[in-house]
Amino acid sequence: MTITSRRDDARRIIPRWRLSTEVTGTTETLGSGPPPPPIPTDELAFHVHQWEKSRSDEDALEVLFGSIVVGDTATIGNDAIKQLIETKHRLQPMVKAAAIGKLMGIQGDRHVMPELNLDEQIAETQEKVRHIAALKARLRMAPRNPLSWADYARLAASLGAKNKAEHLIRVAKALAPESRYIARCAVRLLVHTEKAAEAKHLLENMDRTKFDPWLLAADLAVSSVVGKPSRYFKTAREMAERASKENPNFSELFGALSTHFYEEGATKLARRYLHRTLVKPTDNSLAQAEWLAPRIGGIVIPDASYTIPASFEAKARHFRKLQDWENFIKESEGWCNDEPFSTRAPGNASYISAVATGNMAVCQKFCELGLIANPSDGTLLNNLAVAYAQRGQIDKARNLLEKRLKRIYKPDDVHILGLEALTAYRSGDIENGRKFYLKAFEAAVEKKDMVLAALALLHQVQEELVASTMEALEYFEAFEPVVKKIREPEVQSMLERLRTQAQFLSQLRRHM
Amino acid sequence: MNQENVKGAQMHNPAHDLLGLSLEGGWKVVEPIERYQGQTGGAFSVGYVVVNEQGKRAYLKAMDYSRAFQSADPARALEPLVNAFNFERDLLMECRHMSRVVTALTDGVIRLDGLPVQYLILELADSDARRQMFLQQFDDAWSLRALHQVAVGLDQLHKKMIAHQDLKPSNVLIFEQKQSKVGDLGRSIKDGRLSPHEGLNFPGALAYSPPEYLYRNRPEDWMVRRFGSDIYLLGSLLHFFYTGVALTPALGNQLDPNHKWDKWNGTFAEILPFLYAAFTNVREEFLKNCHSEDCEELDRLLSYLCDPDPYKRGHPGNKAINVPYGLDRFVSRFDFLATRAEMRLSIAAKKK
Repeated sequence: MTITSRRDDARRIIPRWRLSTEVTGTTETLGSGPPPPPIPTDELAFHVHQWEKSRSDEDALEVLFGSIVVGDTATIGNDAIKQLIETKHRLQPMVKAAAIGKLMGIQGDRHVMPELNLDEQIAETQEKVRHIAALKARLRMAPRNPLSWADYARLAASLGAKNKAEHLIRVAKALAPESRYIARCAVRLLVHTEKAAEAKHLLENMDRTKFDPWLLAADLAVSSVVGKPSRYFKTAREMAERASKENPNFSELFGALSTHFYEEGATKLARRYLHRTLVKPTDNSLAQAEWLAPRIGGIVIPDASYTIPASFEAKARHFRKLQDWENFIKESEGWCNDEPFSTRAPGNASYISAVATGNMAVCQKFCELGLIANPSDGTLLNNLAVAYAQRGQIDKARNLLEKRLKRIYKPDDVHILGLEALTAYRSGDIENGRKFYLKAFEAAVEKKDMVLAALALLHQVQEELVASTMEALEYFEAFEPVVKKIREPEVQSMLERLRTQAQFLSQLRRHM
Repeated sequence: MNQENVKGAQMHNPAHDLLGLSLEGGWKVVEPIERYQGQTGGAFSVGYVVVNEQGKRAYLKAMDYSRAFQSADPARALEPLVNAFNFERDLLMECRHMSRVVTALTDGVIRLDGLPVQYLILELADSDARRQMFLQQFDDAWSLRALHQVAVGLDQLHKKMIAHQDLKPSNVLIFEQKQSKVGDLGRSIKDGRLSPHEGLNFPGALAYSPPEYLYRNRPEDWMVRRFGSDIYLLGSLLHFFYTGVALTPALGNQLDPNHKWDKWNGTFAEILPFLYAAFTNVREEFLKNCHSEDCEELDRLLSYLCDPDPYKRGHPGNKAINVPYGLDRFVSRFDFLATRAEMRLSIAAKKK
């Protein structure tokens, strides 16, 4: 087996990008001013009075309209609205629907994302094409609706059409230049298409960035990706200092500041802000806390935090820590469904499912899913080649190696060397396999990536065990003390799995 | 007069005593009316039917100042009432020759027990568009013709720089032979003249208000603020004719509760994307419920008239010539659609 590629390097609070129907009405899309004054009710009271005198449907209709406009504080006039529902007049269906909606308190239409497993997500590609057709029709009808343009961009990105997605999000941004939601969608896309500098420029050109904690958080994150200081760092810090820990609008800003201080080496400050993040976290800041907490120490994430809707990534990270691989895979499926354009979600999931559980069928599915949106992603292609080779499809694996991966990675890259080793082992060429794994190990050590180096060793042991070579147990005994030092949960799981296999082989040989 | 005397005194109200009286110009007060079509908020006036010597019936609106006299400071209380009456009277006189606006036939004053009662005599309508809906007398041809005639009325007002500001189904008055006119100029505003309601962002009925005012946003430009509202109200009327629901409540129903005006704590610019999404949903519902053969065109006109952004309202053709709130294109389109619908109706009738 070659070395499954990891995708969990530096994480920042880059904004989430969800369909507009999923985020409508959530904290991210709300204003940050004081509560509005109540809508005056005197006009409604006048119509109710008129209706009480006349009991006519005409006056009842005015009561209905007034009541909907006044909103929740409208406590009068329900009898008039009931009259409209029961009237003998043949009313248009929308009137009755509005009357029933008002009485039942039905309002708005927040879409909840369906939970789809991997197979369903892969099959959903056709559904996405149909969804795009519907969005196009909606845009023909209402071309000034920026949310439809943003949704279309997201669908295009999730189908791998990055240039198209960029064009579409620019249209949305032009239609709603000061919208927080659209700006955050645009930032997420530009980071995805590796144009973080443009994302930084976009945020700096918005008037509201300097006083909007959500945009300040995005600005800090993007500045970190670009590697340049944020123009608004001082403002962000001052705002965060003044803000209440309870204010959910600031959770991502606290998280971004925490990450900034972690990157600067100021662990104490990083910890301080991470504590604040966890008071009222968003799913994104919770995931950031999951990523950051083991790196800075001294942070306990309360169990109650995991009840936040759509916190798939945070839960996946949590289950990884607990080595609960079944739940990890389940939450990773949710994460992929939540961010269908992302490379990190399927990259991470395919790596961990392969290393920790050895379930190459699941690894293959995660890769195939991720490759829909990112057909040239090296990590996913590498992991797919590993899955092919592991499942006996050597030709497919070699094909990917020769035609795709060698164009992405240099010949002396750890992944190329690992894949050469794996295909050699699986073709029965043990000597070459050993040679390539040794080279892969040395390349990883040279990069000072001890996890990768440990993986090279583990993968070699696995191949020796699969091939049942005479030296398999010796390799295991030689490598075990080195790999034991690596604390990554999936590495420990793999080591455990190989230990069982080695014991089995040892027993088998004793009996023979 | 001290306040205790005021409480004890029962104010004589001559505006309520006009029944049976003869007025200048041969008008005779024949019948009191509880509420005149289109006079939904007439708390300071009393209505009667009057008949002249030729048998023409009309509506008399007598001003009732009794409440003002009973207040602690009658001079202050009277001032807005008198201003409003004078403004409406002047406006009605100015609109006298408008074919699609309900105008004053005459005005005058009658003295009862030495107390003056000022009155206006207006055209008397048979019905209004709201009642028409409940009487099931709506068809495509009727709706389109009414929209055409209302658009003409609004255009006539706009040409005199008068913004109606309170166009709603109950203010579309129906006369004989299905003729529609715009009624109730009580909330109107005229550019260049001090209007009693000029200080209000939107003087019309709240339930029909364009969304920007509900979100506490006041466009600075007079034309945007006044004509922009009027054309929204025309679009709202179009929506009402085909769905039975005014546009603002329909929008309210499509918004997430946290985004609705009674909860929203951000700026209008921030809510606009979500308003556009809600408006798109409203239009989809409109298309589902519309019973006309010209639904798609009506939907397009609705989108021009009721764009959630007041600066973007208006026909694109008019925007190109820098008259964004011009109504002439809407007038001709509604006329064309109405004529076509009428022809369809007559062909269908002949076939029967």
